[in-house]
Amino acid sequence: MQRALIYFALAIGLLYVIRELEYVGVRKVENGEFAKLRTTFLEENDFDLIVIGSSRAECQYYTPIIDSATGLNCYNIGMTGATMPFIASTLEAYLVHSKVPKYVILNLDLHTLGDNNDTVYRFPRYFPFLENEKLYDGLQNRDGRFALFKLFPFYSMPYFNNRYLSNSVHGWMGTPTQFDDDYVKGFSPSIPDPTWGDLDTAKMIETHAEIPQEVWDAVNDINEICSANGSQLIFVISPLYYRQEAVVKNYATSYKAFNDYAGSNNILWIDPADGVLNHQKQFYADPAHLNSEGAQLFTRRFCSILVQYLDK
Amino acid sequence: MGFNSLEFLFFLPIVFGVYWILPHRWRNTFLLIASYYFYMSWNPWFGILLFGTTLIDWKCALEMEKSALQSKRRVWLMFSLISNLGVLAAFKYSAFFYNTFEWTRAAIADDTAHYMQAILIPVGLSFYVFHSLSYIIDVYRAKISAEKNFGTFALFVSFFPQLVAGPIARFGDLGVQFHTQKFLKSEAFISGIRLAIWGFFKKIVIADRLAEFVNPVFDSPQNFNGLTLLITGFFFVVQVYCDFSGYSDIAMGVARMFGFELKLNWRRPLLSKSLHEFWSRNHISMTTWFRDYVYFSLGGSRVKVRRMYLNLFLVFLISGLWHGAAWTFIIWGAMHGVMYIVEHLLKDKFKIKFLGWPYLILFHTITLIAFRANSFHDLGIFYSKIFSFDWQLRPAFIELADLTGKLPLALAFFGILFLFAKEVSEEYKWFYGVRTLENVWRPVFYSFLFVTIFVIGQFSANEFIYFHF
Repeated sequence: MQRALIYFALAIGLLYVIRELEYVGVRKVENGEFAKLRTTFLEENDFDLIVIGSSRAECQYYTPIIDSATGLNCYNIGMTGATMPFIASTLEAYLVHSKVPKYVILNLDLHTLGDNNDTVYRFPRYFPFLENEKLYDGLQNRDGRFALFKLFPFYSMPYFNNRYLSNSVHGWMGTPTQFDDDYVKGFSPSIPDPTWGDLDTAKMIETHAEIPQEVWDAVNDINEICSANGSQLIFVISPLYYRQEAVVKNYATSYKAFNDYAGSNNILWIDPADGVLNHQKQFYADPAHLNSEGAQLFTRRFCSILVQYLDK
Repeated sequence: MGFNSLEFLFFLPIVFGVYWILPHRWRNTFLLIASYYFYMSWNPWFGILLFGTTLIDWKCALEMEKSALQSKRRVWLMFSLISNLGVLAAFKYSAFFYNTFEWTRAAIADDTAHYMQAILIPVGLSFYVFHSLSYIIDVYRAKISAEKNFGTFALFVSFFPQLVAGPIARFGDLGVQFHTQKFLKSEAFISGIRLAIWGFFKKIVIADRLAEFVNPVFDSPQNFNGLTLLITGFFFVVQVYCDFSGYSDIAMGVARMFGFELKLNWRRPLLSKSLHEFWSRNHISMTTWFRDYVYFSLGGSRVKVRRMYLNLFLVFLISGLWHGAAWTFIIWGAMHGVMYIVEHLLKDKFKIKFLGWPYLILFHTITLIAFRANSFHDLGIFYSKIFSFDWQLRPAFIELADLTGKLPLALAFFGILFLFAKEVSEEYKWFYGVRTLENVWRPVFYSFLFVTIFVIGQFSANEFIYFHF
């Protein structure tokens, strides 16, 4: 029995070592989502402009176009599935190691403001980056299991998957991962979802745009961080397909509320979704996400407005 | 709460700790409560059904034992059989029989068929119904005495390690163990842990990894070449074996930690060299159940030869239907029945010593495709592509690697090789009696398995396949 316990303890110890080796491999990967997470949460960056938000930020702001149109060095730290409180946490976590950017673009998702998930979307991807305390705090606040994930390998490792293992192996070998090879400075295009079929006949999912208090709290946090650091915060409304926008309740009310908030807090307001992109289904991967071509078109339109502000 | 869930990681140590702390007289009651909690974690209503059928069987057995008249005993037997098989038919087979009838009616009347949705099957229904049936038939045949204590009988039916996917226990083997006082022994505990680790390895590292290839290929066989379909069929053979025998190993290991011994259910069936040998090693508790309660009831081999073959064929058909309420399962059972009879007819004519293993694996693969195919149409695609012999090795590997990547494919092959290496070494007792191996390397080996489960295991998958049977 004693010997069995010793072996068991050794096996547990080995699990800690292997998990750390896997994390190190994942953090070494030079491309894809894990490379973006490393850049965002662990590296010392000096970007002039960053984009924050959810998947719609990640897949709609084509960073190379912003670079060339504005002459600024920019990066997209939009995180798929992020709700507003977690978006505030990602900004805080980014600033732990990186220099303060001149401009912070917050993409507003007016159709998902009420989303309040019990946990963080695709949370295992953050495991190798929990040494960033702000990130850890942000995650732990939303999902109490993160303390267990951080402490116990037998609690976190069951959530690893092929991406983890493959990325880790590629990280150690110094070769590019086969996953996510379309990431460019934090931008990743949305892949068209064939299950939607024709967007003109597909059933749209009704959502609401009421702004919960926790969203206001998070927006206030973002605004305070930017004000304290001297960054110019910019609110941007990106397009929804017009049939989707039509089934978002209180869209206009929330739009106005954010617009008023921007006006009274010295926040720039840009709305390139002025009714042109909204009606062209060939630019959508699904009713709420532009495809790669749509993202490039949207980014150009956005930049043409942004440049006017920058010139001032 | 499956064995491979995080909840079970907390459930087992708590139940284990409390069980051994409690005085002997309270342990069975506690195990009964824990077993019902385990079962009702899927759906609380399932517990009521389990309790109801258990109560009926317990009462029927008692009344049967009290009755001196054979006719009365038969009435109680029939009452129990009808209630058990009625539950099984209502939940598992009603949609199948209705839809078969409806399809036939619509075909004859040239009408549109209106199919019925399948009812949600209580987890492990087929298993605990078989536990109960074996008990009631054994009492009827006066092989065992009826259990007076309802709690003991209820624990026999619901004992959580074997409740949802077997092994199918007999009261004569397991039930009597509830009457003896148990003592925590380190050898039994460690051996139980070892069995459970090997079971988890088979399920999480091998079976669930293979499922990554099996599921997409079986969902759209039209997109793959014949060799890919054959390889995936073989993957499914190994997946089913590792999934189910993994569950049995965990069940046996967990039961052993509590001081109980469950009967060996799998004896390396994939090393068999004939179908006869295969069925003497594969899912032994089910095979012997069908032998003792169906085959023997039909007359077994004490009838004319033709009737004996018919009996054999019927047993395989029923066995197919027990596995699932679909015609593909019946076809699988029929193919095994026919080949079993053919082997029986040819057994003295010639031996296929060296070709025995490839024959068995190929036959098992081809027939198990019917077991897994989503529909008749898909089964047709499988067989037409496989038997067109348009087999291309390189495209097959490219197709498989494209499903999830080269690394998972390499891990799938590693898992299969590892499984066969271990089983062959056990079959031929390569390392038996070597003290150094047993004392030093065995703990290292199981520690390695434990670590490997977490490093390359597929935890995002799936319930055990046999939960749905």
